[in-house]
Amino acid sequence: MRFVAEQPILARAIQIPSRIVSPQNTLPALAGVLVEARGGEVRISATDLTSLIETRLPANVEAEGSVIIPAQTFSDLIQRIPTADVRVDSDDQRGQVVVHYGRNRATLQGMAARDMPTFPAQESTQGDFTLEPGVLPRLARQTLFACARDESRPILKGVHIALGEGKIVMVSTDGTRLSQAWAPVPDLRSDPVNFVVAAKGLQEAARLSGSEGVTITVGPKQIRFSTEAGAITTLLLEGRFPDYQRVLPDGFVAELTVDTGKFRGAIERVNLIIHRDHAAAIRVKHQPGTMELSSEAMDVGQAYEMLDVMSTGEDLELSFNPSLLLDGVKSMESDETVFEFSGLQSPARLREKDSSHYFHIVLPLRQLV
Amino acid sequence: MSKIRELSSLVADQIAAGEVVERPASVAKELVENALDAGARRIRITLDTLEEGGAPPAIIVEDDGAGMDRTDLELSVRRHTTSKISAFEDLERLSTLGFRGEALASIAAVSRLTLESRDGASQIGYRMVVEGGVIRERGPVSRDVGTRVSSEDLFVTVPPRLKALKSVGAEVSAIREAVGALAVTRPEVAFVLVQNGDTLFATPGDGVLRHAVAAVFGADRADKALAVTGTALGGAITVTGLILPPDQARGNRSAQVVGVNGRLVRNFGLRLAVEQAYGPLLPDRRYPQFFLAVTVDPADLDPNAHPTKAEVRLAHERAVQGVVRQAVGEALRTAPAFSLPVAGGVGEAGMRAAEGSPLMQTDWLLAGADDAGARPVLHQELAALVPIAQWALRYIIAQGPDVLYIIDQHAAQERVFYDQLRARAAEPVFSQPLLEPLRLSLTPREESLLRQAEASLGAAGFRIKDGGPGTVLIEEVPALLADAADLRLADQVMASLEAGEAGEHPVSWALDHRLATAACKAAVKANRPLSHVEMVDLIRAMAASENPRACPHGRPVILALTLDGVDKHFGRLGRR
Repeated sequence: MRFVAEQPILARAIQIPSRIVSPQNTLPALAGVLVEARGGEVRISATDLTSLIETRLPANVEAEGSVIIPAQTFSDLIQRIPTADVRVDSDDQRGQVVVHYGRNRATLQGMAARDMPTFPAQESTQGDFTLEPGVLPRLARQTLFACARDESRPILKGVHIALGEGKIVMVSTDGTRLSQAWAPVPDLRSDPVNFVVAAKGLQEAARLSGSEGVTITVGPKQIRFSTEAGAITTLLLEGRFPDYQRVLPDGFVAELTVDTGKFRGAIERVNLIIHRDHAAAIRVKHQPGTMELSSEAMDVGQAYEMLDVMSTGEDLELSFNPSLLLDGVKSMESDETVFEFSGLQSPARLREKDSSHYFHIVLPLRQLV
Repeated sequence: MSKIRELSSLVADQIAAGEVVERPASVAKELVENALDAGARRIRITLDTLEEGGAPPAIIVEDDGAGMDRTDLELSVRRHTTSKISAFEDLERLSTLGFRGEALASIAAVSRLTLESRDGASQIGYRMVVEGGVIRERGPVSRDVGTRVSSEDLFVTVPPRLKALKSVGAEVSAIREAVGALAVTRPEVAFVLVQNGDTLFATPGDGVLRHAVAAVFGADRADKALAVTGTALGGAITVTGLILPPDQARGNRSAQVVGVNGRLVRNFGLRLAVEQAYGPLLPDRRYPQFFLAVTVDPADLDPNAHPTKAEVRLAHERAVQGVVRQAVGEALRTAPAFSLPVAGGVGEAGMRAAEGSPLMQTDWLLAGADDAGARPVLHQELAALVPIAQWALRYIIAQGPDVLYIIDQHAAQERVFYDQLRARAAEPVFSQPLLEPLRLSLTPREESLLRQAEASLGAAGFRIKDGGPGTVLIEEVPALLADAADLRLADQVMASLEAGEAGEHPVSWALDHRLATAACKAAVKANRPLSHVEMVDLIRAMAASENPRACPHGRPVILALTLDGVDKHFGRLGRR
């Protein structure tokens, strides 16, 4: 294989698939990117056996072929090359790659392309649709943070996606909080289809899409996100996602509208006092027109903040896990946030004042006697 | 012609003897156990090793137990004859050590056995000699109530076994070890072990474990030993005994004795429980010395797991391990850390000696405010320490009256922080309700454990609800554990309940690792210069710490050089 490509384009194209290459692998080929030159195009792909990311770039292909190149070294090298053009020349059988730039060169020991495990081919689709620029990153940002981190319930490490009836709805939960974000998709006229996508795959898809639109293709076992820059295919998670509708509160006893920026700033300051104490809580007290936030930690001190709010409903005082509450408020994208309580021991809801596209549920803590 | 023959009873016995009688020590053990089962109060074991050429010692065991009459004596050397059980069900409530009815027959098959016995009902004793399983001589003998068994010419008929034996000295020390362990499990019986007329040890038989240990393992060890007691399941399980402090650890496990219901056992789980309790107090590959007596309901003990009965099966083994671990840990915690007299300041000479070395920081910019503060002193010997210098930017060199300490500054502060965090975690304030309860399938035993612990779990912040047969739902978890609210947490809960640990510190078992990490992050690292004030303060904090000898990750904190040890090193011992 031999091709010449422009350094900045090649550098950018390698970065995207390199992200899913894990530094530790049992299979040596998984530490590499597969580089294939055909026609006037070079395709670079990598897989962690759960997802496959591929990018394409235009290049002057002098000899067609394919080879596996160690991802980290190749990417680091190309990023640092000062010349406008880079020539990549490989012995595809022996896996030896020579990168020429100007008068200089580097030789990398790679592997023959046949060593790369194959990723299952995309099966029949249930329909393609396109999300406007910025929509996928928003959906991802508002759901990924609430996914579970541990391995014991793997299904919660994913984001539940429902497609149909003109919208895409994403839900994530780790057992103590829940995020739901949605966006209209007029093309989706079918009945709802539900599946769960691994958080990591969705995160990479959101990154890949950047400020572009993204086309989504759903198969029975995979989902593919494609953009101008490249595409990611990721396996759907198997398992039953909890019936989250049950835990959504039916009604609220108090509703507070607060400036998002001020609310966030107040929580951050109040959390400062208790950030070393994992057992501490942030207290939220509602009285008509005001919300008081306070915290207290042994040996550190106390904090108190009062915010003006537009409010209706009962006076009450609740305790929250400080980082969960902060995460929830951080995920709000509107200027004003509505904080709703359904009772002392019932879920509270955070939502955006001027849009119905997102809400977050967080459970208050219960004080032990 | 048929190729399959029925083995003669002698051959069958010799084969079986291979299992029971491995070496002379097994003969001694079996004979002594028979004596104990006969209710002996005094047992005398005589070893005769006069013969040259490495022949195994003759073993004579005499007791003052119940004895046997003529019929019983003749039956006793036949296989599967025993006075100890009659039906299989008896095994369930066994109180005797033996029950298989194999020992004497096995020994008779591979040695020349001379038995003399008289029971309380007979006026005269009876004597017989058995060789290769056949009775050669028999007749009356005049003797007291009790039994005398002598086994000579062991393995003469089994040459491979004979060849496999080690030197006479090694076999005698194995016998000494086996009999010694039995003597320590039964301190109420007086044991005397004699070799060629020399007494190897003699226990008083006064029921005091410490006396038995002193006799068998030396008065020094008995003096240093710490007493251990513990109970669980409302007294159904008890542990008593003696352990030796960590600095008495040995390179092998020979001085580890565990008796369960008076039966000497080898149970890996129990040994491990003890060693876990010592934890980081022991360096790698050093083993503690301990002499423990465990009592359980006889029905919970199945000794029929192994031909020599050394391995036993134990019901509620984890609970037993839990008690053992707790009791030993408690004894270690309450023991004085180092036995040295308190007080004494650092001499001028000590300070000067440390000066001038590039690795020692002795130039104190801030001489310390000498205020012990309001901290309670749990470890007096540490409170009296005077820091001399910081060495290599990571160790504090401190001096006590007769000990020089090298203290790892990071590990020491880590320990102090850990204790503080733990104290705080022991008083949970909030619980985190879960949107989706954790569903847990339980065995009936686990379910009943959970029910018993419901109150303490509730106090820790768990809310547990019935989820139908064999299922419970965990609806709330302690707020501290909220981000770990998964099924592994539930497994930890169950494991700690089984081990009987949950009651004391309801959350600590699940939190230990996390608190240790938090403490480690907060503590000063190596390569951080410490001023004199800081070192004094750290040492004071250590003196107030529950267990200042090990960091929560299990690494030691303190290296102590005793004056004795240093004198010994320089060959000065005895000249002071």
